[in-house]
Amino acid sequence: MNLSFSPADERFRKEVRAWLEEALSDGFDHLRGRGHLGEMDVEVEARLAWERRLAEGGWTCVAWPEEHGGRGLSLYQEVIFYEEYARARAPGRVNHVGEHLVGPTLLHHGTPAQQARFLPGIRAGTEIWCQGYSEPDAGSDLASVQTRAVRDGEEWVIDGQKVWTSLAPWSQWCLVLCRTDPQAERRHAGISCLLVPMDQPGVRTVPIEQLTGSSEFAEVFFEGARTAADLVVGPVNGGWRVAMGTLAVERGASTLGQQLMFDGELQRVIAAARQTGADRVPALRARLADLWMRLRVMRLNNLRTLSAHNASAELPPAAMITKLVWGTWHRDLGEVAMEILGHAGPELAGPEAEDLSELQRLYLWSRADTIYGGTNEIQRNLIATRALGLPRS
Amino acid sequence: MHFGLSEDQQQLRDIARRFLARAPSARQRLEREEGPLVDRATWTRMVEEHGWPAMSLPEEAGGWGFGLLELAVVLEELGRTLTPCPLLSVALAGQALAACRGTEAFLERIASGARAVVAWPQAGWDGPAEPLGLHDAPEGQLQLSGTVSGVRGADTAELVCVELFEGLLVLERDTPGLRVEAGHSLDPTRPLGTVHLEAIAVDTATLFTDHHPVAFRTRARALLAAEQTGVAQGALDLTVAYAKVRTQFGRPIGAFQAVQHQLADVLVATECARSATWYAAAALDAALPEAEEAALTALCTASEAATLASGQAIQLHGGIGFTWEHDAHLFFKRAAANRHLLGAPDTLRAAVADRILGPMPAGGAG
Repeated sequence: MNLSFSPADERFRKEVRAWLEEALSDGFDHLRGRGHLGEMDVEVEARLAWERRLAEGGWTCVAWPEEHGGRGLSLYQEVIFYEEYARARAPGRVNHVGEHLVGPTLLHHGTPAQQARFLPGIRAGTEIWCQGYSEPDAGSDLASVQTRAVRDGEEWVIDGQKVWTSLAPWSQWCLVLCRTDPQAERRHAGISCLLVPMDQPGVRTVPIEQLTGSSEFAEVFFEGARTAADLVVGPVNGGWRVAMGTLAVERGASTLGQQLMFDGELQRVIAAARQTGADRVPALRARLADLWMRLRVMRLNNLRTLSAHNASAELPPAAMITKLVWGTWHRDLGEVAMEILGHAGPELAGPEAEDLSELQRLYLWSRADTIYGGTNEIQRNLIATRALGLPRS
Repeated sequence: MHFGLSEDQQQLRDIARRFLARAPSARQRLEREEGPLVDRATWTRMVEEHGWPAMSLPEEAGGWGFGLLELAVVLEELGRTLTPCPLLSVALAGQALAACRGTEAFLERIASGARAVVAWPQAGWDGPAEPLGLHDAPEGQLQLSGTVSGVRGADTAELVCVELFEGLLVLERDTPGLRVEAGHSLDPTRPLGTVHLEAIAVDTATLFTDHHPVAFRTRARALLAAEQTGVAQGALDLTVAYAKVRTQFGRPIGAFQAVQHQLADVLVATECARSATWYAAAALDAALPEAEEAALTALCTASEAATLASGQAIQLHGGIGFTWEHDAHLFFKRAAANRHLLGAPDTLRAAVADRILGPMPAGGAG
């Protein structure tokens, strides 16, 4: 057991903190705390300028190897970077999908030509990516994607519909999971990962109006859309493994930064409780204490997983519970927040459905946390079959 | 940074697990024809071969100088098997005495296998219990009278450490006026007793006034959390094994999502309990300022996990889980017996709330 970071890592922390502080106060102060989940669609142009500022300082794609423009950070330095990013309340990243999904996929499965073509744009924050995985009839059951891609000379022609694509209107490229062999015997076979340009007549995006009143996600329609034949990542008809591998690539470093953001939210819920008098109601005090303890335990679970990663040891079962635990925690925080607001809970600040206070938005948005990225139900299936070894249902 | 067991600690866990797998089970001891609940030979090996009572005591008092985390690792394994043994009570007494000056002679006895207990008046829902106190007797003597009930392991204790207003008083079992009445416990795998103190003439040489009740409870909570984590894990293991072999509707019940999802939630609770417990023990070993809150968090998390896991063990076993012959109820009863020993989850949450929100104003909700 060693509960502190090394002196070298702490020096790195100071460096990150100093850089972020200086860069944010140089024209980006108004973006602090903005653009995270629940308002990914606000201040996008200003946040793109921030992405480029980060890139100039060498603070995008920090975990990538140095030969691809990253810093090749150790796991703990990556953790420290995300913690400091959260502590500074730096804005939500526009190119999250590019940096954390497409980049790692190309690093693992891309051809040298694909890497040379796409990685620099992601690193520089000049090419924004979105993810085309879910479809109206392929949510939890992702392997049933129906979007078709057919070869036509030196191009693929794509037809179908994707849904829940975040930031699609601002994206130049989309990583699209397509069915390329409808006759394949196993439905997991016959799927390919294509890189598709968004700016073409065959691609149409329609924003989805969410129950929060805002539109961070879109439906994307591919109607005879085209991309070059060599823009398949991994083998043709071997895309399922590529896509699933990428979901497993995330080492969990950013979840500790996410917890610092959660802690900030919890502190603001506690501050609201002091204002409304909810801090004097024993039942609500107990619920706040429960949230406080569970957040700390969440951090410990993740440190356990990270430590096992770092030591290249077998991952503990705690590694499999991360999503279920944080999604549920955040939803519970939202419920307590609304309870604390009391009779003022339903009063909006303005005429629009999206004129929500931070705590109202938390209450509504956190219903998504137990759905996207694998629903709570899917998470429990995975824990039951993989961590407990129970037979598949 | 490394949050996890070291290789030595993993080895300690594996050795304990192998030893306990071969030791007489709780079930075998309960069905014995005669003799004490704790198997003498097993306890002797715990003391002499494994050194569990000595392990986390200071070296200058005959211990090995290990930390609380090592003790937590072993106690988790004991919670998993419910092997009848007084290690938890002995460890609590050892930790209480090790925190006081001048206790080396007692610690050496504990390290070499003397059974000891701490008797403290337990808190109820209406607040902390009134501490026992000394009173003056004729000829300048100090006397102690009172009763402490619910003392785990009191029946076989050689040393009884009584928590008083004035400090921690260590009494030999044969002290005139000290009488231990065997009690009857809901949890058949761990006896409890009542310590009767009748006009005991107190020798201040064995009264340790630097005993710190809060610090003692913090260490005790971390250790009890370890046992509760083990109870949760033991109940989970039992249920998962059954769900894989019990067939209904032509398939193992573990293939049904209704069963899978309940067990997934038990795994989540158990893993959270383990993380919280390791941290509480490690924070105490490193004397971190947040150790007190870490111990409150660990015990709250672990007691909830033990209750959930053992309750689900009964539920998911179905009818057989409700029978005396099945082990599910042993886990359920241990979890319940442990739950109120050092603060129930509701009490612990209220204590954490006082820390993060400030204490409740007098007169309750405004």
